[in-house]
Parts: sequence; structure tokens; C-alpha cells
Amino acid sequence: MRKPGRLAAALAAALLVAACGCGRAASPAEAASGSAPSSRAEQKSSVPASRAPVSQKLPAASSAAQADPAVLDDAVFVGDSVTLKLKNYVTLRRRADSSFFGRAKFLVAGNMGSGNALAPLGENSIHPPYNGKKALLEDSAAQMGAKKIFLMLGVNDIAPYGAARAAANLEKLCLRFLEKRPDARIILQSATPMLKSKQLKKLNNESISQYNGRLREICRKRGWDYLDVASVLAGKDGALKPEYCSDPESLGLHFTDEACRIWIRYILTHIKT
Amino acid sequence: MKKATALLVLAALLFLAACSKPGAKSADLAQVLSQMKGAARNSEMMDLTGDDLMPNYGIDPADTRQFAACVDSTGTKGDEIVLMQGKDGAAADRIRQKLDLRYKQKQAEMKDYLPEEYAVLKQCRVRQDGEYVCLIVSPRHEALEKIYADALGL
Repeated sequence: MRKPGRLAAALAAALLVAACGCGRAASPAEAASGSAPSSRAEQKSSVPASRAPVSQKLPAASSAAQADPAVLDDAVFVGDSVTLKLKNYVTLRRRADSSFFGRAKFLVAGNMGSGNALAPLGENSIHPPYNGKKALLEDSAAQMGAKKIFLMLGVNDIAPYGAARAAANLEKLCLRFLEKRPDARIILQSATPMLKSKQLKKLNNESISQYNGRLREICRKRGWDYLDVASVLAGKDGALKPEYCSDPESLGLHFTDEACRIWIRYILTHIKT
Repeated sequence: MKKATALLVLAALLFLAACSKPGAKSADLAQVLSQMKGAARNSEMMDLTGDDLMPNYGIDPADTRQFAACVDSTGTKGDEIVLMQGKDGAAADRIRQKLDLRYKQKQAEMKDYLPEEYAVLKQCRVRQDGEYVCLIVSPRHEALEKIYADALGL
């Protein structure tokens, strides 16, 4: 009677040891801290080294006529891949300075245009989720409490719709924002130019310029603000300056960090407060 | 005999409880991500913080036990690595839903826009192993997923 008892006890002990071995071992970080790792702290310290010098390289922007970035606390920037780069630039700068670019928020998608933004909301529609919820842009902006809505769209619209229709679509989109937020200010930013060597049949600096002309007219007619961002990024030939282009081998229209810095300074020196 | 049987049953139950979750091997996700970034061959990746989880993914940081994530910063590539451990199984399931949504959104954004990036994306996936959930999008996704799987003993 005793033998089976001892055998069972030994077996149980072996199983218990095995069970402990299968249990979750503390990670090195957890072991060091004695608790769950603070992901925020770890992430903050792990900004890629290649990014670190960005803030150091940047000279202090002229503060003469520059608005307090807090003027952007109630702003939402709507845009395509060009604005997506701005969002990423701002995100990185905020690691060192949480007040950088105010508390401006972003609603961006790489291929966004006013054409596909006007399309109905659906599982496969372009509308970017905000806080995990996919919604029409105007609904997301309203949820964000936007009082200033900056839009830079067009490079994904000009080829399929032409400059005039693309601009008309953007006007329609802006009116949708105002339906949801009648007290919001609309600020249209010019579409920015491409490298001289990257002109396409339908999307080129000539058609971008025509599009921007339409936007200027719309703003005049509606009393909306117009920011000619293109003017500070283009050379004398109207093309994107090569030093501001991050993708000279492909589309030739996306921005470097330096271009983002100039864009931001332009906004802060031209926004009506 | 009854005592021995009871002990055996108890031990077996403890064993099963301890081993019931797949992907039970623990890993420091920040270290895993660091290793993956070395293999990703994209020098323009930017790390994400807890502040980015809700606006970008709709994930409540309180749902995570640990996480590490980075995304291409240029706006022109689809590369994105998100590694998460939920605080429990239910949290992991919620994280999975959000990363599925993110994956679908990336598909919608790239389908007619960046064909090469879309082709890469279609080969990638959201993966859940117990409390661990990941989204790995990279042209080198196979190598990255192997690093992940090896780290978690999958």
C-alpha cells in the first residue's frame, strides 16, 4: 500500500517541476524592475540613433513673426502621404518637446484624395481609423474637436479627376467638415510640387499649379484661408527643390525632415491668429 | 491509494493549467524588436510609444503587458512591426482585433497606390499566440517572423 503512495508522490513532484518550467518566466526587463516593464520609458529611450540628431541639426526658427504653436492645439491636419511624413516628423520631435507643433492632430492616409474621401464609408474605404474607429473624415475631425482644419490634398486627385474637378471635390469635402463643425476654420494648403525630372503626363507641376489656382479662387469665394506652402519649397522653376525631396528615385514628391521644418515654420508664420 | 490518486490528479491539473496557453515562452519584446530592426534593412523606421497606441491603433495601453513597435517614417513604404503582449487573454483578443483593422486599412491604402508595397503586405499577416500578438510588414517578413518565433519558442 505504501509503494504506490510514494510513487504517486514522486510523480506529482515531477509534474509540478515540469509545470513550473512551462510557466511564464520573467523577461529581463521585468526581472530587473520587479514588475511589468514600462514600455513607454523603454520606447522613449530607443528612438533610433539616426533620428536623434534631427533636433540638434535644426537651427532655431525665426521667432520674429512666428505664432505660438499652441495656436494649433485645436487643429487637425488632413492629408495624404506628404502629410503622413509631416505627422511622423512631428511625432519624433514631440519625443523631445511635447509642445512641438502644439497639440495638432492628423487624419492621414497614403493614398488619400478628396475623391476617395468623399466616397461612402466602408470596410475597404480609404477613411483612416481614429482611436480604432473608422469614420468619415468629417466625423473623425468632429470627434477630435477640430476648430482649425488644415487640408493638403490633390496629388492623388489631379491625375484621375483633372485639376478643376479635383479642386471642386476638395471644396465639397470642406463643406462636409463645416456641416459637422460650423464653427471650424478651413485652411487649404497648396499641393506641393514635384521634382523637375519627375513630371508625369497628367500629374506634373503645371497641373499642380492649375489646381492650386483653383484652390486660391475657392478660398477667396468662401472666405477660407489659403496657405501657399508650395512657394517655400519650390525653386525658381516651380519644381520641388531637390534638397527637400526624400524620394528622388521614385515619385519625386515626398519630403525630407528639412522640408517639414520649413513647412511648419511657414504655417506658424502665416497662420491668422 | 486514494491520496495518491488525488495527488496525481492535482499535479496533472497544475501541469495543464501552466501549459494551456500557446506561446508560453516569455520574451522581452523591446529586445526582439531591436533584433528584428537589424534584419529589416530599413533605416527609416521610427519607434512608437504608448502615446501612439490609441490614436494609431485604437489600442488601450492598459491592455498591454509590454509592447514594442516601429513604422516606416517616410510615408512611402508599408514597413511596420508591432509586437504586443496583452495583459491577459481577453486583452490579447482585443489587440488582435485592432491589429486586424490596421492590416485591412493598410490594404485599402496601398492596393491601387503602391503595388509593390501591396504585394509585400499581402504576404504578411497578424499573428496571435496566446497573449502575444504581432503585425509584421516588411519585404523581409519571413526572416523577421523567424526571429519573433524563435524568441517566443513558437
